[in-house]
Amino acid sequence: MELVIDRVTKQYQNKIAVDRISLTLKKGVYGLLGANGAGKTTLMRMLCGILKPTGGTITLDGVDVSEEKYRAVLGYLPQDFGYYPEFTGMDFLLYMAALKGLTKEQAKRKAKELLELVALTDVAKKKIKTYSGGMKQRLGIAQALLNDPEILILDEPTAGIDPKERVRFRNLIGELGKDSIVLLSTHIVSDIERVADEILMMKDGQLIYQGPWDEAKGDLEEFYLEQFEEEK
Amino acid sequence: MKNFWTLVRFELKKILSRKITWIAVGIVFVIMLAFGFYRAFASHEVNGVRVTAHEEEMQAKAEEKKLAGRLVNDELLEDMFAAMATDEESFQPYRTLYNELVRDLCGSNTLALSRGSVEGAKEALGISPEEEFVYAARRQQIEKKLKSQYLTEGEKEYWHNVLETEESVPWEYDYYQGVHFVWVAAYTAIVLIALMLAVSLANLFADEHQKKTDQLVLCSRNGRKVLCMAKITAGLLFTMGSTGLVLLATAIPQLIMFGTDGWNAPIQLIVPNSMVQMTFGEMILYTYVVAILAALLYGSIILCCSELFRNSTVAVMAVIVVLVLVPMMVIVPYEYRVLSQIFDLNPINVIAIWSATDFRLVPFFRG
Repeated sequence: MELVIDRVTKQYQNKIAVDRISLTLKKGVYGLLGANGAGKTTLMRMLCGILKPTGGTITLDGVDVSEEKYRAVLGYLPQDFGYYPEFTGMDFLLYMAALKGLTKEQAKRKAKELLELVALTDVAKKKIKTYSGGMKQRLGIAQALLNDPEILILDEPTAGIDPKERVRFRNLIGELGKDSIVLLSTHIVSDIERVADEILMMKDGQLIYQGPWDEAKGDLEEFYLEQFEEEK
Repeated sequence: MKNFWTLVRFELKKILSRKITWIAVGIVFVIMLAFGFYRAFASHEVNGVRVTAHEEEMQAKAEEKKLAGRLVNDELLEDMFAAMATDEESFQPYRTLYNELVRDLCGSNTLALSRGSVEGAKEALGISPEEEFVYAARRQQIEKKLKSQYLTEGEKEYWHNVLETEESVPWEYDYYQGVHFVWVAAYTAIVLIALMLAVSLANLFADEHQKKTDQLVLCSRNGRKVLCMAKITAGLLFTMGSTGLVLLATAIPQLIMFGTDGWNAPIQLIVPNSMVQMTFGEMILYTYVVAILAALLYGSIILCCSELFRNSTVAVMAVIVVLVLVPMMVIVPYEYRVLSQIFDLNPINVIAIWSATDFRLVPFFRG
């Protein structure tokens, strides 16, 4: 399984949000770091097929990002994702499962399983509008996992989640990385340090660092902050 | 189209779970019911006795039913003029015939009516004694309309042929207020239906963008083509259901209050200048089919606007202004033939009672 990003560019009128990024991602967890406006979300949205690149290609084992076959194995948790306030947690997952092409039986089984995983079984029949921010975020994580994705893209997945849950999800992400390509974007550098097999660091739309990080290289957070300071 | 109907069910749930949908449907439903039943409650005093509009109409119905089955011809009109000269009570059965048909046919020529006889009226309108007054006067009115609507020679020829071969002439009189009200109320209904649909459906696509759920939807397997089809299907199913409900609320009260009398009477009893060969019953069915098709058209346009503007408020405003207010407030003169005809093909105008005297044909029907 290989996700190939080949000279991917996204340009908005005068601004280049992502500038000719080339990468090959295999099974594992990739931690994506970068300041606000570095192009992380744009890159992730292109990897999900939501945004069309101005140039370059994205393929998974030769299947283009625009194809249904690609979307069938994709899981995405956007930063600041929306929900349907009048739906219950269970309805929301069943709806997302239908969108992801699961059969009714698969959908019900998987929804129950994931609600348990994200500790929302007790409130599964309550409307989402009654959920707290953390509960909504956990529901978002559950929907991303519905189709057992081969590519999992998580944009700030632990935002709003309490520390105990955050550690649980960090471990879960590590487990998922054994069978899938997981791209994890977060500002919590310690999370990335602990769980990511490789670090991807972006600045001004370009990839400024790619590779594993070990203690010998020093403190990742310090390195990360240095990049900001250079910018200033 | 995997999971298509599951998605349709969820999309319907989204539409029906919004309070504004129920408020919009509820308000329109109640307005149309009230439109039908208000006569049962509206009352006024007649000679010191309180009478409801419905009771008054029932008295008029009892009188008018005395003429049911009679042919509309000079003999009936002679009786009408005679009753008019006798007293108010004798004239009661003829009141609607006089007000809605004879006066309409005399147009601005009030002299014709003041003569008080069929012979006098014919003389005033330049109709020869051998001709039936109603049909000759009607022909005069139609000729004026054929000119004022800037028709082509081919269209005029078509309508002259229709006039020559009309089988419904002479018309058979019947009481028709119930079916007439059902027909007329369809105009109000379609205007309110357009508003109701705009409020209920404008958010179906727009909300996905406004609530940022589009990101989840667009990267899912069925989130593009299948979901789009499911949304359109759900929107149109809602359109058909809610429109059917409103049309029932429009028709049933009128039919309960006034009965179905006149179902088989020609529409010319209320629109004498029309050459549409239909009974009131046929016209109601035709109007209701057009209303449902119009609602589906409105529903489709609203859904397109919802996706196009990605903002439900803008979509609602665009639909209300373009589909409802402009057709109701703007009149394009007949001399701008193509523009005027296209404009008048707006469903709101097609359903209106005055479209029964629109003689402009599209080339397909002209042959």
